[in-house]
Amino acid sequence: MKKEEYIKAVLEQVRCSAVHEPLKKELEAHIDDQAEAFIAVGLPEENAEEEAVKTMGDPIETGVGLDAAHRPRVPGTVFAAAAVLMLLGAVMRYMLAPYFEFVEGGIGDIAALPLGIGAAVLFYFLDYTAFARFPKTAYVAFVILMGVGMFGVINITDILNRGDGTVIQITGLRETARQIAFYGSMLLVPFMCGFAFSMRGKGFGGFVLTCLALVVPPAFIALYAPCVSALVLSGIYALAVMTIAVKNGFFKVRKRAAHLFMYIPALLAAAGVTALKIWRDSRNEHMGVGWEQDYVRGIISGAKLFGRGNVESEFLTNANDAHLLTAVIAQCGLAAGALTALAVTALPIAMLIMSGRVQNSFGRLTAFSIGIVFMLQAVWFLSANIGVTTALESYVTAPFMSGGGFNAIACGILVGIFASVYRRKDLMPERKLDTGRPAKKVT
Amino acid sequence: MKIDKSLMAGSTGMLILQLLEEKEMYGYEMIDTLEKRSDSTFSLKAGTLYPLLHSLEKAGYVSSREAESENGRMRKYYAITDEGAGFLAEKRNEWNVFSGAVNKVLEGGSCV
Repeated sequence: MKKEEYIKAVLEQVRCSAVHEPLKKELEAHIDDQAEAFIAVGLPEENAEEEAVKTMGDPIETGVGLDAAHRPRVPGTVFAAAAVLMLLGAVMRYMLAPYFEFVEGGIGDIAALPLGIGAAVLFYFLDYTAFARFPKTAYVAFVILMGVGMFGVINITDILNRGDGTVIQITGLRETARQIAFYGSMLLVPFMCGFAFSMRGKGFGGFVLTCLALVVPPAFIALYAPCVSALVLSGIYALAVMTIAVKNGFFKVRKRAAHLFMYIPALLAAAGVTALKIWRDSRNEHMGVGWEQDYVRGIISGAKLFGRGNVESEFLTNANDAHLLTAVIAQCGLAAGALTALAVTALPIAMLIMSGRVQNSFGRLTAFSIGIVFMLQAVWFLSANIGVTTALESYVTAPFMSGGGFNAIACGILVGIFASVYRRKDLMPERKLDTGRPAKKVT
Repeated sequence: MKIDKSLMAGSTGMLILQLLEEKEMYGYEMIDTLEKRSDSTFSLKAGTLYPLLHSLEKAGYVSSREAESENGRMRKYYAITDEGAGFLAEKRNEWNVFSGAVNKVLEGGSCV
């Protein structure tokens, strides 16, 4: 049997096509090594390869063994947890709708469920390494798409604004602009990972360029919306991606210098945003600084452990979906609130832990960054709902649980990408993703 | 001397991990080293080695990287992980207990 025939027979048994190329290379190298050894002991060159193939054993048996070793792992629990959270959110909003005006529970939430699940399944079957194939083009294209969408929505708003009596539509479109900024920055994260991955091996200049590319365009879009949460979160997403990239040695830079370069501007920006919020609140003569948090804390202090508490505040009826948990605490009690908080954070924590098991660095970066997206959103949502941070004048959601088609689709896409990474967590070798850099020579 | 294959079953993984604990190796090198060190007692087929190696990698006991050798051939090098080292220590203990017990029985003697 010839080398090519043997390898073909082995690979026919291996169902995961993603590993065919590296397996082929590994088996080829083995047969070549063996043939070389036979030639060294005097076997004629023309017979060496065939004899080397004979030492490999039965190709079918080998293929079956390799197929078993490379069976994709379906992260069924992640899919199931995401679907349960979406359903739980829809049910909660439906049950709270009669008590709180802001909760628009209804058929729309249920209709969004198949959209989210469909998006998750679609992206699960797509090859996530596509984000690393044309990273810069894809990143720029997505940023442009977000910018164009935003420009279109805001200008339609302006056109309607000049008409008569279109207040509801104007509000809706402003909300859409915020949604584009918020969900766009979420969906930009895998593209950020691809961009950072493509800059591997670059020095400090490449590192700075990557930082700027990841921070500046989403920040402009968030300011254009305007959406404070998109501005803050997209900055933290970029920071997380770059922190992992530096930790994994993507850039030829001194890690301490790189961290200082990232974290000092990030802390200054955080202080700036906080100061701006305090300044804006202080100019509000009726409400004052921290009025939103005071209202939320007031509602929680009036809550019971079980059942409806003292909900006299008008705050919730005028608040938006970002205070879903506060509404749960007010209506159903602190225990139900604690369970909801647990449900919101459990999946992001599980995703962060699972990402550590992904073997190739791009997959690990992507999976971890997606976990960070959901974790940050969950943390902001929870802190806003217990009166620690602000949620108004922004866009804050509970991952999976908040209503609307945008939320379901964006969360579905990211869960699908995460699952796509995880199913190949042991399979996708670095070389397939490599951008052509020569491997290190071994002596 | 030909060895009954069933005697080797279950211990091949331990032998591979032992080799990798000493140094990073590629597939052919493992088979060659194992054969030489065991005076040709353990003549492992590539068809047995690679599925086993890939399973060990999936379990997190070994990690791999590709690198070019001096003759320009691309090779996949395997190295033992901390988890793999722990697993090897466990397997080694198991083996010592097992082989000790087998030897005791084979040596014969009366029960007390």
